[in-house]
Amino acid sequence: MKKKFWTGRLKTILIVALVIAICAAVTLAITNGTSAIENVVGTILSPIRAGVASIDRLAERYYNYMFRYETLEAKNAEMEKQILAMQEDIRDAEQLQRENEWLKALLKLSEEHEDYKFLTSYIISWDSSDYKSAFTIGKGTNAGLEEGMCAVTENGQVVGLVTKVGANWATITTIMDSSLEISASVASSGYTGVVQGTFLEDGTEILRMNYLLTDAIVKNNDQVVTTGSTLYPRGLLLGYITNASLDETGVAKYATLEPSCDLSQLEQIAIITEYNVQ
Amino acid sequence: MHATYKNALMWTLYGVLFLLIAVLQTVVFGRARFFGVKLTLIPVCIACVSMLAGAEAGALYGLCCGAVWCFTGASGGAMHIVLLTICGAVIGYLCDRYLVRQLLSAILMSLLALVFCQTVLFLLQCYLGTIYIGMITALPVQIGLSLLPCPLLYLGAWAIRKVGAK
Repeated sequence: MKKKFWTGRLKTILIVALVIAICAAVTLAITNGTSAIENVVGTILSPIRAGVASIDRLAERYYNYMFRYETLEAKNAEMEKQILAMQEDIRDAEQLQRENEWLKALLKLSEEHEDYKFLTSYIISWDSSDYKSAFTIGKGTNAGLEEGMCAVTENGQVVGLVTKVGANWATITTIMDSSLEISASVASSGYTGVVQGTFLEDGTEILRMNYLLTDAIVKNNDQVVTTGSTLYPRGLLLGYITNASLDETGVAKYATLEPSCDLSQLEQIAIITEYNVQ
Repeated sequence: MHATYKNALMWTLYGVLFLLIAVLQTVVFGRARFFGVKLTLIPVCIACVSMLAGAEAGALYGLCCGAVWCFTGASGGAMHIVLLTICGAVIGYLCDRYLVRQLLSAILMSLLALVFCQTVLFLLQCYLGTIYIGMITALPVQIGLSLLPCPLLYLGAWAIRKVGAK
């Protein structure tokens, strides 16, 4: 006898799937932040992910040691040169810093960034979709994390914002994701805009600074920094301008940016847990 | 060994297989891009298990995996629950009626699952305005590359099936 596709049990399973999907979609949509089920699943998976991530890092290190030794050697030589050049820059910077400090003292300004408090964490997993740029870290509300906190690299370059937090995990949506909009300004000229990740028609992920004035004059390699809000401090580096043009509407200008840090190479990040809103 | 106990052990192992794939997909393949795309192993896993389990059990497996995958925060959200359930049901049914359970069928069914799931998710993202329709060129590359671990997954699912064999 031929087996039928639409059996009673299969119909029930499909209806149950549909009901669960609708309930899940509604729950995820109406829950402000992280839903309880997401928290449970994330909390269970977090230690497993952390374990696999550490094995992955170890394997990558061995792989790099075995197969990329010559490349690393060349990179090391190049970096030594860069260090020498940077040391010279530091000497110049120190002189400028002294001058700066004098000016600050004159203006009775407080030292910048002294108010920051950091929490560091390793990245334990990445979003597997091609259309979203986010990752999970192995610390959450237990460590004092909250939604909206800003994630940066060890050099103070913006990585993204904490968008979901569980007990022992948190999701960081990166600046390359199209759902994140960050108020920013061009450091040298002060033009303001909104930085957002987007896709080109060929699928390439880029960072764009939208809503610039049409008469804004921006140069390549101009630094773009955050303007500050209740979520993130001002003056954090987002990227460097690589190109500028009028946008699709013709009434505003946009600039494409090169992100200040290579997100794919990140292993560890710092979250700014406290700062003074100025 | 008692048949019920063997059956329970088999489904537990299928669950562990899914969790392993889900963790690998987010930890290892979530960061690495191959030819500009990320691998998608979840539909392949569902296809390999469903073709051995049959339509109803496959659909139930797809439903459970889809729900867990949805609540891990996967992009596409609740859509995964419906897509993976349909995948499980259709693939299980096709293998019950028309196909011989072997590696070639597993590759064919994985291809079917990947094309179905990834196309629907892609169209959903297009509809939401997150991506451009021109990015569809990346889809065949993603599907093709995601098929590569299929033999390994089929072997795993087949070995687990042996555990539950009466």
